[in-house]
Amino acid sequence: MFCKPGSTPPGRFERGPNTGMFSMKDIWRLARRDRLSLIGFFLFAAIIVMALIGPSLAPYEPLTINRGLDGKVPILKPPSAEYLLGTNDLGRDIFSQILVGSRTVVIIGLYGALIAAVVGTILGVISGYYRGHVDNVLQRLVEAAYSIPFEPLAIVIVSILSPSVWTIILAVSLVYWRQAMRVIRTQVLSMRERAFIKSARVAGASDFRIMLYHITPNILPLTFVYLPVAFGNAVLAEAAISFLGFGDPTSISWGQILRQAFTKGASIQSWWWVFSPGLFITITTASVFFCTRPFEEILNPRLRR
Amino acid sequence: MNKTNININTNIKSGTIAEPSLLRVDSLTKWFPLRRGLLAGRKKGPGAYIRAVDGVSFEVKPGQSLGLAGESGSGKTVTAEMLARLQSPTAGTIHFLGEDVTTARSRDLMRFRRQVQMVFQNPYDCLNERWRVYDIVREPLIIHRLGHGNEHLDTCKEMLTVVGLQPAEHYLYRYPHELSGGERQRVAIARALVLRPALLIADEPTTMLDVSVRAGVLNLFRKLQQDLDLSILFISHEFSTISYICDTTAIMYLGKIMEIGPTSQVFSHRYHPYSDALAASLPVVNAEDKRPPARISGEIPGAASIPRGCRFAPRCPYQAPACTAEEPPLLPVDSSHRVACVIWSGETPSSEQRAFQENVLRRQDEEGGAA
Repeated sequence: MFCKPGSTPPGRFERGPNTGMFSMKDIWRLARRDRLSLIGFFLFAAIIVMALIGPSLAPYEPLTINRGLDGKVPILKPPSAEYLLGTNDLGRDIFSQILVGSRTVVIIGLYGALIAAVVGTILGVISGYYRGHVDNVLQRLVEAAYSIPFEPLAIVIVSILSPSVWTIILAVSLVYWRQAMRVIRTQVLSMRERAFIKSARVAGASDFRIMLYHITPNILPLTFVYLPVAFGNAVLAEAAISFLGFGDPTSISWGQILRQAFTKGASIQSWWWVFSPGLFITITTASVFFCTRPFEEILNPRLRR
Repeated sequence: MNKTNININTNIKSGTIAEPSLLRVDSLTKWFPLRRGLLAGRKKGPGAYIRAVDGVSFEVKPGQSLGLAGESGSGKTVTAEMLARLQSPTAGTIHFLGEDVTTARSRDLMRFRRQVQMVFQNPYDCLNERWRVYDIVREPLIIHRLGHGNEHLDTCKEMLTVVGLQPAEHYLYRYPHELSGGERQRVAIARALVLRPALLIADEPTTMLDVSVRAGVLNLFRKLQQDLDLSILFISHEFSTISYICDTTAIMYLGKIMEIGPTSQVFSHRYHPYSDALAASLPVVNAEDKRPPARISGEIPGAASIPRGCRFAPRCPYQAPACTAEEPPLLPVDSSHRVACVIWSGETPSSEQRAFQENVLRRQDEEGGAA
């Protein structure tokens, strides 16, 4: 729908006849052809910038009870020039809360995704390379990770540890390493049979050396594919946990704004209180999923036009 | 007929060979189980395993080269990978310079690896795409802790020059995707040679190459044999390339050696009907040379269902009842030439077999007369 017809030249992949691999260059080339993913990239970049400089641009202290010029507290005011996204029941500025909350969301998203992708990559490489018993054990672990529903796990972890940003990151990375691990494992399984790995073994390279220098550089693009996926999952997970009330009580996040709106029963009359955090959560997750469109095309060549 | 019988007797008694061998392989076997898991190995009998290599014995003398020839599926590559210690044999032994390396580990294995290197079939698959040529060629030196960084540069330049990539500086910092198939294969050879091995295993190194660069790479192998005193175990399905490189040739079929002997003899005498058929399938340039077309038909059967008796019998034009009774052993027909065929070991050849036999002997005499 966003793609111009006929804008895709044939033979976009400059690579050897049978390598089955792709490079960052391929990803960028595919992304540039697809408007939707380009929009995704820019939206994602905007969210990151917002998290970086947003909190210092916030017009009000997010938790201060504001007072108008007439000395009255602006309770549940709809969006206006003064309060861009309106105020809540305590006269707090929602726009400022959104800006400050973006940092929490992005921190959880980035760290959660990074840890999940790194753990998934390392375990995937080990599992695919060693096969046999190691693979068997690790595969059962993945199955466990797939069978655990995220929210109950997060609640258990939060109640054991204290509710904080890091606890949520832990919960996110405990669950979302599974996708990257599965896909990377299968790639490694086929890669380890290729001649350049055999050549390394004939040269006397140790298993560690082969995994670190020969396999990892070749599957790293796949890790990058799963980073945004895990980021999107982490953002949604954070929103869910915070909405359920297990988030970090000391920091503001979009999920928490939603929770306050919900507990105050304001979702019907004060639409702006619910709408704005919801919109930002949607934009963030949608942007990363749009970003992954070219990756999907690489992973599933049948989608290529 | 008499002649061959006498040969058989003398050779069996002569026993072991005095000259030390570089590589000696004894009844090397690789069976892949078809079933995995708890019940693996429970099922006995035919079909339980893929018998990829089924008892192969040969030896390579220092500075000599051996060719392994045969159709696809005859177990050449599995043999090569076992010799390079990439796969572990199900049975049999590999001796390198008198030392048993079949199950060598850690230090011993590293010592073996310094001496035995391998070049692979597909030049588009055998180089790490993310590394530059210099890193690729240099890696074995780093692994075996040989020399320092600045020495590596000189060694790599020298190696690239040896394999004909000149000027070396032009190639050192390139990535594999910038090179042609022939250049890639030369880089792979340089990488294999940088440890100065005594034996190079080459698994169909020219089959994936463009015909125009094939001759160049083959000449390179010839040059390496002479200049570096390198032994090459050359695997190919093309008789012509093998005869260009190798002193000795072994013809493999379904995991077994059918005929082994000096290359010129194997190709001219062709004691085994399978060798004869392979040779007959070669295109000939000389229009006067009117040979009968290859008389074998069908495909090589799967290694999971190896026929009873002689494994070539079902496709053999000279098949007789004796062929399917029992597998013929590899017996000498000549001082350095061994064949596994009922025609040469059986008591009562059929009339067709006798015709084949006479044909071979006539070829042999003609050649003897010409020499």
